[in-house]
Amino acid sequence: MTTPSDQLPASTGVSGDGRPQSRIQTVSYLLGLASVASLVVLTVLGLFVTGPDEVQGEVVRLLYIHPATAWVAYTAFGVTSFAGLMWLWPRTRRPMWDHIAGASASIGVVFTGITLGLGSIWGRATWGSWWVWDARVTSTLLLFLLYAGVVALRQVPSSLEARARRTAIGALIAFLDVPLVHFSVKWWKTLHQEASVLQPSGVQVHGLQLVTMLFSFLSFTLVYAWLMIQRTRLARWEDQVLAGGLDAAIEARQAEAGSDLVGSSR
Amino acid sequence: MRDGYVIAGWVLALAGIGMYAYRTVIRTRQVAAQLLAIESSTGDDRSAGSAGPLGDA
Repeated sequence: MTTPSDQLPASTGVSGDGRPQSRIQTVSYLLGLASVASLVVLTVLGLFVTGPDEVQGEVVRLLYIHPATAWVAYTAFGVTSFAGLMWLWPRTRRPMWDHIAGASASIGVVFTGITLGLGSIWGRATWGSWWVWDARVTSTLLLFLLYAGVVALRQVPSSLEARARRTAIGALIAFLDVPLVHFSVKWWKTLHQEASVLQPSGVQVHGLQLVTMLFSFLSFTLVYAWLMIQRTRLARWEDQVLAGGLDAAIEARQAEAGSDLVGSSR
Repeated sequence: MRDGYVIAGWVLALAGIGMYAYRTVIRTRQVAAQLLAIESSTGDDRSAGSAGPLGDA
């Protein structure tokens, strides 16, 4: 027995039994498997294989994932802004760029939220407070709110073109906060520590801790890539549904108007 | 046993990503069903030859 969701339409590129038809579907399938496998390996490395830190103790295990989720958030907002720019540039304007911008903004907001949550938990364990109005933390909260605003703006009913324009301009304005977030620890010297890996004076993390941290960057990047394929496809299909629904409504109205005309001519 | 803060942080991250991915898959299936309904009602394969998720030119 098949359900409607099992019978995917021709436009989805997936056969009825869920087998991928196009190359991008195969890539998505493999990326999904790689993402899950890498998250399992990361969990084993982060929670069981590595030992506690001399200074931070067990809490250091939060730092195996916190910088990586922040990295994905930066990447996602970078991709959103680039796609927005591509849409604003008349020569490269395609619906695809709007779909990519919307997908990446949504993923970025989720990862920024996770980054803030992880930072809050780490702060409670280390600083003794769930929240401090530190320069890095505050600018990251601002980043979260700005892109949440961009995602919310996409939900406002409007033409596809107006939605794409709003997303592109909003994303580019919000992206101005990204360098502020990144350099806030250098410019203001507040509570949040400076980078441990990307330091001009050299890497401050070593051995298995460094391997785990770098692996988390790879792992979350794979997750981001998989989510991007899924969300971009979803955005495209949603627009197709919208256009298809509109076409069907117009056809129904025309049929109705036609029968009215026939009725009135009698 | 790991510190409670550590467990809370990892659960937040993995469950957060997992739930978001799950919602994405469910929503994709719903929209696919809607597309299928539109295509069968109009008898129109409007995107035959589609280049896949990233190719909507």
